[in-house]
Amino acid sequence: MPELDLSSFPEALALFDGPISMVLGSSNVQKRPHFARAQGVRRGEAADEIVVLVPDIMAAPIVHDVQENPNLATTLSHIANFETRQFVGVCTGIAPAGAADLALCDTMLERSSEAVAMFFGEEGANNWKRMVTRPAQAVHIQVCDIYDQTPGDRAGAKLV
Amino acid sequence: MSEPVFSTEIKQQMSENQRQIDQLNEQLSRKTDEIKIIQTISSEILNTLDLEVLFGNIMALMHEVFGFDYCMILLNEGSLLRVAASHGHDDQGLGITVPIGKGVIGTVAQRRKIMRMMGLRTRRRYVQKVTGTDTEALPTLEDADSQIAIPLQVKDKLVGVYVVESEKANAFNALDEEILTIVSNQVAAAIDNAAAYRELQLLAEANSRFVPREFLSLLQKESITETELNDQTEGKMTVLFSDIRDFTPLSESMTPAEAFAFVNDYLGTMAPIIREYGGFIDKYIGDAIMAIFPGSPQDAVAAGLKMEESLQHFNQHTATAGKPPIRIGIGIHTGQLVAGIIGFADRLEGTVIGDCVNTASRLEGATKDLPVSLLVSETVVEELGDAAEYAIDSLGEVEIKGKKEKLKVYGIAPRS
Amino acid sequence: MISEELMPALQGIVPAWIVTTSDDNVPNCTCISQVYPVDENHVALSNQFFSKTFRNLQSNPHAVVQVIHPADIGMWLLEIEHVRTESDGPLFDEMDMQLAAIASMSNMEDVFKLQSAYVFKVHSVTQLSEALHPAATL
Repeated sequence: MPELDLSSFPEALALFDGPISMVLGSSNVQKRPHFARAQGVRRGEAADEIVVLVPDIMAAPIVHDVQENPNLATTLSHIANFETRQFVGVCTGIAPAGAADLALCDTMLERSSEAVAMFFGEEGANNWKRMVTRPAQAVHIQVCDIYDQTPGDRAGAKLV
Repeated sequence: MSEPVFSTEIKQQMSENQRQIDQLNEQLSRKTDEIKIIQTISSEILNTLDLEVLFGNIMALMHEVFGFDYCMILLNEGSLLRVAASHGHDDQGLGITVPIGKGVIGTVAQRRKIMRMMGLRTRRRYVQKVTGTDTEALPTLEDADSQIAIPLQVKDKLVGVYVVESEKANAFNALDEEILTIVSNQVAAAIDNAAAYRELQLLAEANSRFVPREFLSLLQKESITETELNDQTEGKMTVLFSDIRDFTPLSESMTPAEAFAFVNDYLGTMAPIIREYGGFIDKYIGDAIMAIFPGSPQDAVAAGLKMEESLQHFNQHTATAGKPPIRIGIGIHTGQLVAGIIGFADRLEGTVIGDCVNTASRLEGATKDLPVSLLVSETVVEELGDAAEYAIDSLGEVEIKGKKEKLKVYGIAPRS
Repeated sequence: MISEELMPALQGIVPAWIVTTSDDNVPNCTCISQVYPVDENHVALSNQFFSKTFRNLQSNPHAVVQVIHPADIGMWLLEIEHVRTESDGPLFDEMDMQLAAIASMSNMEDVFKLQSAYVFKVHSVTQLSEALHPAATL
């Protein structure tokens, strides 16, 4: 099977810069899904690899699930225009996020807060900024499928 | 003595009982609140038939008692709703319409169900994204983010929609919805009553343009609704007939619409004069006017002279539009008349009947062959007595169609 | 289980997230516009676009949703299980009416139709209070 190269999906990668709302989903061996809000995402070393940054406070169920079932899905939704992509793949490793990744999370939160301010006012933005970003886990995912999940006709269209 | 020992079961039962008591108490206090609300409203808003006052009262109630800052009342006009009153909006938005079925307000009207909609801005953006089209601006706060819209109904009839809104995303809760549900029936009934009353007034006003109030008062009726076939009254009255000379060739030089406008201009000049001198117009016959003066014949004569004077101004005015001057003929006669309701079944008309009417009409016709434009009968002249302000000129006798005897006729002019 | 305190988070003010799992145990995350309150123990979702979510629910009724309280951005997790699907009745009508109200603003009320209302039993409600810094520390 040819290796997927994320570079071929500029629209999906554009979302990495935010402002986005982002989640990571996992599922245990009993097929019970779990949810974690992610605070950052970047490409990994491999062409098909992404790294999703999940605050420790949210990460426990994910860390547990991937030991039983490596399948993960992460969805990024643009706060202003609802442009949405889902990356589905398998977990290739989890490690504490380093300083650069934590800084990325803070930048992303800053950016999404600005967008939130536009739609929910200063008060909303101030509350949004209260989201805990650190410490965090860096969840490495080898992406197998990408879906367009922007609301509308294309919703659910498989891009890979 | 030891404390009484309750089994777990009894304890459970007791706590369950307490829970039920609390629940009943809560329901009771809710009911009490409801009654308070209903009492407040009935004294405040139900006591007026003036729609504008009623709207003001409702808005004040909603604002001061229930704390809704931005409110609107839209009235149902069939396929659309029209903003009839608003409170708190900078731009009042009065008269703006919402099609039934469009937006929160239109959908509430269509489905006849209350709707509490929050996060309106986010939802609109979402739909815009999905559909790729802009959402229509509706007569709401520009930044409305929460709305409750409730149908105002009287039985099955949709009177309108009541809307409260806010710029806040999370402005309303279930209690607000409940309050509005409680008040909506009364608000709807009050609006419906006042609207019906206004409609009735408008109808009466419209009717009075077709059947003059003066005519009804001759019949000793307050309203046209009281009249019936064969209602009549008899008495001595004066009839004034006026007509435009040679209007047919003149009208042939105009388009039908121009001729129509011309006649209405002319009548608009003449009709107020009739009223000014205590008469009323019984009917228009094309460009001709038939007017009744229930008082003295002098009223009719004064009106006729004023009509001639006004005609000069009218001609000067139309000359600027390139129209030739017109001449009119006026005939006035006094006699016994019957005013009453004629016709059959569903097509009735109020009119006056009597030989006197024909005579007045013939007098007007006779001005064609005489050098005057205002002709009166001998009876009128007799009634005028020695009215010093008129120059009365005997013009001999004219034949009146259908009469054996000739009629003495007189020209009248103001004594200069 | 669904408290008064949670109600504002179920009004569609801030979009919600749902995670489901397929038959071959691959999770699926989708953003949804609203989780509707039904009664103390049930919520509902509208079936419009996120068909993969609904395909998953056919074989595996378990899901988790996150809703956000608009006042303080407080995050709440609900473990839910799909128990029935409604395509008429009061709940369906109410959800359909809300959709129609918004869709009709873009003249899309004929396209933007509610297919069905998915009703879920709520197994747990957890407020993720530790996911936010206390307001005072800002």
